[in-house]
Amino acid sequence: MHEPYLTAPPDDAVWIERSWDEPECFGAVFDVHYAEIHRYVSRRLGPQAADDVSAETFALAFRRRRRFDLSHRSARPWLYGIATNLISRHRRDEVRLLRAVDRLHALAEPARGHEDEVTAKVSAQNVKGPLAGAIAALPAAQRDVLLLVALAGLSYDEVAQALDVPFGTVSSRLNRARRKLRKALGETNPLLDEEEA
Amino acid sequence: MNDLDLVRGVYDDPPPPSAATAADARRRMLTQDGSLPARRRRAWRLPLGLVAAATATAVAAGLALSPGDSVRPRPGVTVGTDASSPRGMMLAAATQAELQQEGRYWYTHQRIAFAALALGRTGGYVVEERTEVFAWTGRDRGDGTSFYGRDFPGKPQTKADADAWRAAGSPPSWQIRSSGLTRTLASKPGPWQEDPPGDRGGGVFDIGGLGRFTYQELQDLPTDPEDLRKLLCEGSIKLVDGRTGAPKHCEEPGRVLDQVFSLLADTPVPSKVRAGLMRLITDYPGVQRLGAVKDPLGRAAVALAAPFDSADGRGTIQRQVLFDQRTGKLLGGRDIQLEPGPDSETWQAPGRMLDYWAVVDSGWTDAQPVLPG
Repeated sequence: MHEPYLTAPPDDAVWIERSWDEPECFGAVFDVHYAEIHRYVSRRLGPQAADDVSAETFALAFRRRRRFDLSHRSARPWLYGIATNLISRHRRDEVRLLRAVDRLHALAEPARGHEDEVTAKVSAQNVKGPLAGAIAALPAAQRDVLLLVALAGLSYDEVAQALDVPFGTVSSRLNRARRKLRKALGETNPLLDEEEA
Repeated sequence: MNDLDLVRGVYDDPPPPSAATAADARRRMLTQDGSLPARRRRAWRLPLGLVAAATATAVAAGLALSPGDSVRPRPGVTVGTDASSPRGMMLAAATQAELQQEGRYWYTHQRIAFAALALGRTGGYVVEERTEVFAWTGRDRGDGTSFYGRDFPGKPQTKADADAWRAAGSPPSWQIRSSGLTRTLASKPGPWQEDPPGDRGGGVFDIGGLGRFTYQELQDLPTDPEDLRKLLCEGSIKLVDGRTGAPKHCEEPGRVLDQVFSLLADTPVPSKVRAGLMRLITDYPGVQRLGAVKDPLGRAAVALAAPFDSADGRGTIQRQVLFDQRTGKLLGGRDIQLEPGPDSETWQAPGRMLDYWAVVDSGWTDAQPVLPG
């Protein structure tokens, strides 16, 4: 999870408001968030699509800058929301990418002879393939919430803001997604802490 | 560790955007207002996520290989070129591949299938969950590119599966469960849906385990099998701006088959390079030459294969790559269960096809490709 901002808050709202009259002020928002958004998109869609989708995210945010709710000080959830909506247009690519990870995984990490077999069995690498397959099979709305929490580190509140859905919807989608993933991994997988599961 | 940590572990750390990419994105953002519309260039799109996934995996995994570990094929050694031998058949296919005419547009139409058990009262047999993709890209940047996908109807896999399906009253759809998730397969195809083309970039291909190549760089790839082996197996993954990623590695013949499959299936490499890649895997150590087989769509094929031990308890699986001997075209790839593992389901018996990636059609045309029906 992301640390809360401990020092001066990143006042995106100030820059966005100023950009209404001085468009180039929006550059400050870009400079703060671009690399992080690019990374999120790149993980979900691969590096090439990430260049396109993250550029489009900021182009769209810029065009919609007058609609940004200035009561939110940080533009982060808003930008993640725009990126997530753009990613959803590439849903098929994303699902196939995850399936490919699942398929490739079988080859990529062969169990080696002298390794402690128990250790090998519970290593995170070993669940990577099946888990990628399970994420691919999630309904898109649940996958979005799951990845905004797991990859972007957004809080439930921020996810609700990013996707413009009620808080309760976020938590029910996330719960359903996590339940399915745990099932996919087997309920008794020793990698999962009980209190978390 | 909880499940969210595990989810994070699925996603490798991608390379950061280059400074030039960031600068472009920033400029594009700020110059779109009013009188300066962003130029809408159409990007070359990656036909299959597979290659990006493989790149990301290899980049982040940083799998190191000491130089002595790599297995080297010896392309100089010839073991008879009788065109009726499995090896001769592959080399004949490579010769045909070399003769293929190139055109202005390159296209690929692929069908991807995963086998799963049909559930419920009317289930108990194996059905295939299928999707199709169609992608084309022009030779020159201004020629454009498109990428489409659609759901393809599910289908009982073998004749015995079809018989069991009919005996169950021929239900029009199936519930299946894989990766721990239950879903329904439709019996009708969905409409083609276009993924929006990117707005900028273009001419860039992410190739699994190799890195980023421009269209021109693909044209300049070597054609000699030994040079191609070096390209696939030695040095480091090539990123943008001359940066490099993880060392390349080729210790598993199945991995080499996979990489060559990706290159042939998803990128417009020139005919001579295609032929070179086919010659490379024909003689690659550990690769089995299966000779004549039928591909998943029932077409006559010549096959190469490599077995591997599944990392997730599904036993020993054989990965196959299939070619048309008469035209030299890639027909697809598939995974066949050899020996079940502790986590295999009962239907995953020896000989069962677990998945396939079929190239329905692919090649070059001079007219802009149209969507198949």
